[in-house]
Amino acid sequence: MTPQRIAAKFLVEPDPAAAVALEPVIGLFHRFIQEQSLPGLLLDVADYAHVPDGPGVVLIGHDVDYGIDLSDGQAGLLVVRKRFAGQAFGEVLRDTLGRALTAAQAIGQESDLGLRFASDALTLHFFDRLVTPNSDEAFESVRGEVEPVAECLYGAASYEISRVRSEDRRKALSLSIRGSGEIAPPSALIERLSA
Amino acid sequence: MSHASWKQTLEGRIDPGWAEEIDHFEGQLELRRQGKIEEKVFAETRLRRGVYGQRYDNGKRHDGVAERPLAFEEKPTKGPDTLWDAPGMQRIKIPFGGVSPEQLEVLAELAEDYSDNILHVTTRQDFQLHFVHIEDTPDLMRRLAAVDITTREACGNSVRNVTACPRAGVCRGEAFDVSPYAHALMRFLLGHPDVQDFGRKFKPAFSGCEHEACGLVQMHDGGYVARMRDGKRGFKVVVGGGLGPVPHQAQVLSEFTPEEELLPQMQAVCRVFARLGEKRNRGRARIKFLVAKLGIEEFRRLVEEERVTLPHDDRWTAFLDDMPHTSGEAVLEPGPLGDAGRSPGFEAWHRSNVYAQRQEGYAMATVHLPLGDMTSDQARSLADIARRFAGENLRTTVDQNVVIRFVPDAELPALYEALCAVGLGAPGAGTIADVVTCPGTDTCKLGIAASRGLGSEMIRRLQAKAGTLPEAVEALSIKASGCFNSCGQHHISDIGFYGNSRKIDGRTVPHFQVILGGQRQENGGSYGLAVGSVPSKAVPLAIEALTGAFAEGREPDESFQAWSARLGKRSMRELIKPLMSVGPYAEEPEFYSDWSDVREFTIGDLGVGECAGEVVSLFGIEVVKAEAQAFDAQIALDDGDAGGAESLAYAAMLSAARALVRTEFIDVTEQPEDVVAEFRTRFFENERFFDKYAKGKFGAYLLERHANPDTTVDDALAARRIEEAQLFIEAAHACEARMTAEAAEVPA
Ligand code: SF4
Repeated sequence: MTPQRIAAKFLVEPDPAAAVALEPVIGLFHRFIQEQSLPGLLLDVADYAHVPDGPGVVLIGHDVDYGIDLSDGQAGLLVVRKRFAGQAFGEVLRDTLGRALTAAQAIGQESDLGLRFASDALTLHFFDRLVTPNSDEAFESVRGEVEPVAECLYGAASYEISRVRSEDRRKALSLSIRGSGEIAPPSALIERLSA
Repeated sequence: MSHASWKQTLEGRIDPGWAEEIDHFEGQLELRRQGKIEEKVFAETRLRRGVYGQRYDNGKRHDGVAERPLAFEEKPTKGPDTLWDAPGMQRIKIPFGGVSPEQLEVLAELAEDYSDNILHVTTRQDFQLHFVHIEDTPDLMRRLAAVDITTREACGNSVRNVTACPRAGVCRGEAFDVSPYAHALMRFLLGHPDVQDFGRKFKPAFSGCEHEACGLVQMHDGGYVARMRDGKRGFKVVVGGGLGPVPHQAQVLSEFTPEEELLPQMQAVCRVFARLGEKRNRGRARIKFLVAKLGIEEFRRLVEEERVTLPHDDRWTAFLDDMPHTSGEAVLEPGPLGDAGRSPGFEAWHRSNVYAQRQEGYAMATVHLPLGDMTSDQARSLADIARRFAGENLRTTVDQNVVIRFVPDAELPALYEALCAVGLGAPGAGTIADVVTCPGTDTCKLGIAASRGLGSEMIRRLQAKAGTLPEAVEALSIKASGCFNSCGQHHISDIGFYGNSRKIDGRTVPHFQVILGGQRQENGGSYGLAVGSVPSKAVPLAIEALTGAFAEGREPDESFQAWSARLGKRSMRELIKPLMSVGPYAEEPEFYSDWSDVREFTIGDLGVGECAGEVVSLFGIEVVKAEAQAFDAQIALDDGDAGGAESLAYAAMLSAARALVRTEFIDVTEQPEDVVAEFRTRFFENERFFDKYAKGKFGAYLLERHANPDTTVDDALAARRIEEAQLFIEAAHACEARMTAEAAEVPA
């Protein structure tokens, strides 16, 4: 069964712990809405810059949210896919990553902003306490869905999946994927996902 | 692998009555989705369960260039003009703000699973989750119900969350702990048949004492102040307070209601309100209008009469038998605060965020949440911290913070470190940097200006100045509302704001009306008064001008309220006057957008985009006269001339109406009869003056005053008339803006 929400986070490079100027992101996200630059039904911009280690600035959509997220003290692009009833887990996973990489590319092209995202690693969160509780069993089941997608991105045997945030079972189930060897540019990764 | 639903998973863990209600709601939801029940009926049903609409849920949004439709799938609506798939807000009632670590953990999960990872504390001790889809709400409610939280009557024309001072039970000055009474009142009235037929909502609040600020009972529909008489517990009961467009101070219903009479008396109040309160005109339907209309003596007589007829109910007193006699147990032994283990920043945090409890050796620590927001991770950490230091003792506050009670003094340095580690160690609780705001244009459909954007900017600026401001300035309060409805409680802060707009250079400029000298002490004992509107982007400078003048000019120990009253509104206005004007768009474009928003400002998603027009309209020139009269009315009231103030306020409404009429009929005379007749036919009867939400409320202020002048005028009436005049003028501005936009839309 597919969880209600799947989120992918790509960290800012070179230093995700460095401060990020969020004010220009507000303008950018409003422009993205005007120009419909990202996939999904885009609705509004929510500013949470005042919350320490919070969601930062979020482009709220109907089926997807895009945010410059500061959680865990690590700035990154967090893309939350939602409202996809009836779709298969793997399909939603690919779609989530495709959208995240598309957004990473679009934001990365904004030279004034100076935000780039590392594509050799990402974190996935599964927000659904019924379908994907933060348990060993759920992790194994999710891993089975994630592996083909990770392989598609980074190639067979060129990635590592590890569970994160497992020390606190109240948190959503999360895992990280780290690619090794030569990492293709985001445009190529997007193509692979949609192939 | 198939999974059980939340309904199956939580079976047996939810109060059967609550479970049935949620099932019923889910059934209604499905029926509406199939188009089998009326949208209005469903809207009422969902609102009573705290499921609100949110900004742009009519499917239209101005993106800064043009108003564009939001391409949601075609489905039945959730209510009039409210699209099914548009995200909404879920309000979650937290009686007296009491929240346990377990409940906080569930709220944290819900914020991640259904919302945007933010738990928002409101000015009425509720939680709110935003951007929630309607179809997720039944499961969300089940998960809450499993930890003893209901969203029932979190909205709708019913009894809302019962609030109480967060210090209840630990306060050094309280008569006794009011929390169990607040809890009993909530339980008794929840779903009670006598509270289902109100014309508007009813907000109750409890306070443990008369003079502090925490309970704010004076601004509530029903307020209860703990009192002891001859060794017996009871309450001073007040009714008919309220903020909103026309604020009222509550009046005394009873100087002492014994504890066993608390519930039946309240039931009688509810019956009288349901029977005699206004039902058709929402703008006059709060109990404050009924109390004002009947007079408190007559209202009291009716309540007493009703009380006698009530059939006996065991629940009136049953709660007294098993009422807890403590306000939670400490988990750690008390101990004195030592010098060891204090990290940098501890002293400042201790100064502003820690309150010594009446229980020797224990303290209450305030977790300062910026704009009432915390993340799910922070909420879980807070639950852990509470368990470690204080057990079940958490409360939300009307200042949008959370307090942890029963922390041993000796543990405060460790508590501070634990809070800092998760971004919750900000000092400044209860200081000028603890800015309170309503959601404003971020999510509220009625918002005019960005109160949260302004709040965020003020927090940033004021935190940067922490420790450098004079002590008297540091102690001030700032509250902002996105519109005149006052959810940010701006009337009771030293410096308050509510959002409005002005037409300048053919465009709309976001503004905030400045309200000065409100009083939080004495349970919100008096309200501030408006001194003028400042462009949104100039508000930080206005605050600097006001606080600077206060720091320099105050007498020793003089409060902001006393200082502003001593100088008078004319002088206050002079302080902000240099900031009130805005240059043309070409020269000062930054004034034409709001905080946290780069779009050119419009009066929201309600209307069409606005095009540049002439520099100063005829209306613009004429309406200035109305604003000056409204201001002079306040001065007259300050000078003790209630009659003069009331006449000036009426004259201000006439001038604003005439300004509108003259845009179409330049030769209208200045005779009140003529102005009112023309206003009525040209703007009121055809509903052009009507606000989308308030409808004809503001226009009716003039018509009612004109038709029924009061023969005796006291201060309260004059103050109310001034508020009405200000709202009428705002509505005239909005009406003119709509007319200009419509004219710009007509093809040449
Ligand atoms: S004051 Fe106005 S903008 Fe703020 S929440 Fe209330 S209705 Fe909305």
